[in-house]
Amino acid sequence: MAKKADATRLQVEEPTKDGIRMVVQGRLDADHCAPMWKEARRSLEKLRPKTLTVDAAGVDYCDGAGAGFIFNLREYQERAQRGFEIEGLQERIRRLLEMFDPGEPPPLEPREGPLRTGLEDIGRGVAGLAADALTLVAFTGELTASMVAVLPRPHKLRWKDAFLVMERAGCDAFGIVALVSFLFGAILAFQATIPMERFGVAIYVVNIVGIGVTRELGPIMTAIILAGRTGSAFAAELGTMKVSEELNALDTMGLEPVQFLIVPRVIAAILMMPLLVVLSNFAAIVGGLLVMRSVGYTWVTLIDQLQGAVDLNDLFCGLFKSFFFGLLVAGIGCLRGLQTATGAQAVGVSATRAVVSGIFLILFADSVFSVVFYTLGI
Amino acid sequence: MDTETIIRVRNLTTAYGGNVVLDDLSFDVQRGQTFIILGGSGCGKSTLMKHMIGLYKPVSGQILIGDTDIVTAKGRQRKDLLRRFGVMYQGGALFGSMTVHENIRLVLEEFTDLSRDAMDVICRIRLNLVGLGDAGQKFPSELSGGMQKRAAVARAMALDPAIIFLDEPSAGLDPITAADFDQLINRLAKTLRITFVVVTHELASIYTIADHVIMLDKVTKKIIAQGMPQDLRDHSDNPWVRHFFNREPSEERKKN
Repeated sequence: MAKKADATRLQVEEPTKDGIRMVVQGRLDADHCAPMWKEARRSLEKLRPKTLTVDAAGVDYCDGAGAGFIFNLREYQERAQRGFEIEGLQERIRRLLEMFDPGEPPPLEPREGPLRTGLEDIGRGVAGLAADALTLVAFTGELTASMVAVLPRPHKLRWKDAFLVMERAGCDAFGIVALVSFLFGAILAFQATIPMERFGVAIYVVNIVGIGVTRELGPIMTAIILAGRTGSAFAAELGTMKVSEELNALDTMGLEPVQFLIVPRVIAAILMMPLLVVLSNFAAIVGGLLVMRSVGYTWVTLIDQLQGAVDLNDLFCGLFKSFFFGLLVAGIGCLRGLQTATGAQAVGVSATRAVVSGIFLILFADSVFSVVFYTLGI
Repeated sequence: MDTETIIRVRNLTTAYGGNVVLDDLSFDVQRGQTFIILGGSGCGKSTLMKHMIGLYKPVSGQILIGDTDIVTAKGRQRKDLLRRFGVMYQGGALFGSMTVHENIRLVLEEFTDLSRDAMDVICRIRLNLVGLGDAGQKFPSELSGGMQKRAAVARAMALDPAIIFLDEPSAGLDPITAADFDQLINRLAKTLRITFVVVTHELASIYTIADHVIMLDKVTKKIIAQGMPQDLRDHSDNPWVRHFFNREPSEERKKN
């Protein structure tokens, strides 16, 4: 059957005053139509015939693509308000063309495009932010109520889920938290040592690393890693559940999604964050001290300096913040998951939003804590 | 109408992990036939279809589409084979980030050298054929379940395939839409001689569209009955087959 392909061709006859005649032969399918299509359109554009007559007597096979070819020629002529005729069609192919009629071309609908003004974008952005802030407040209330409701009845919490999340968000993150913190501590010490050595006060790099890490950098770094690893995972998990209507199922079964899915995740993150922060502090300080040791200080000097620089107050400040960072990262991750729209892209969008919002909230909360601690003299 | 075997399945055995799902199946599908794969829940209907379209590799056996075994086909050969059939998945599986029109055009862009203008006409033909002439610019999320299925058939037909595989085409459709869908299948099968391989549970639909039915069995993992649905309903030796077609509870089957 494929051998007929050799006979497929388009012949444009000499134009007359009435128009032109195209003789089409052989198989009209996607493969054979493609070159013919171009040739026919070129001829029409060049000759602009008053009437186009297609002689299709030699067509022995036609499929959807072939029908498309013929209808496209017809539409081209009609759009230019010129004539179109087709003759010699086999009955079988004529019936097929009736079935394949593409109808009227749809009018072009105006779609939102790059023409939207910048002002409109700003307006939409602000309105979106305001709506998002309101949602965040409502969600915070709902989450707080659910967590408070669990307090008198801790057995109601799905501890199995919570432990699983603790393992994934906490234990599985030990390696990456330790590595990133160690390197960060080492880099910080190295960069600080170079200028401070000029003034002969390089030993105070230990103070920078010790206080900086325990009060600020340890909790922030750990929270950012948590946002990247766990916040996005929460958003993707809940988003997928929403897309597959599992959240609706929970609702209709009388189970509160917030209490059933979110509280265990948030509690797990809150409990694991301080542990990760302790690990992060330790790894970063070890990294910093190793650099200092390589500069020539003894371990005794370094430890002595560290003990003098960092007190429990610094450590507890960092740990106190870490509870809130855990709450924010897990909470916003879950909220973004619940806000997932439909479609495959939506889950990816939610995961991205979870990370971006998580990091923003961590830094925002940290700046608030800095002001509060300064005011209180802690 | 002369018969021509378009799909040959020979000694097909499939398994998930170590569990055999289908055991030593052999059957033929004729060109232009609407071939129904039937059976109880979990008997391996969708598994069989997924093997037939080359998504899964069987443990053993051959699935010949024309003269090419889809199990072993690779590279260019496999691509040519994929062009010969279209698939409609149960949920439509339209790409959510593209309009319906773009979903169909994607296939044409991949497999043909047609101009954009040409592709647009073909897309419109396909959409008009399935009754979605005015939905081309919509996104799948803006369509109802039935419309999504029809759009998926339009996409499956983009390249004028000889075979279209349909996974549960009537599931979730109201009776009128389901009947429209059956009519569409019959029309395409008769006019274009498209071969349909359909996995379904819908008895009403089967009586309307089927040229041949095979019935899979979860226990033996083999074909337990085949033929025309009316014959199987009225004359099958197997009581479970009769129960199935008559929508009757089957006491002995519950024990399995």
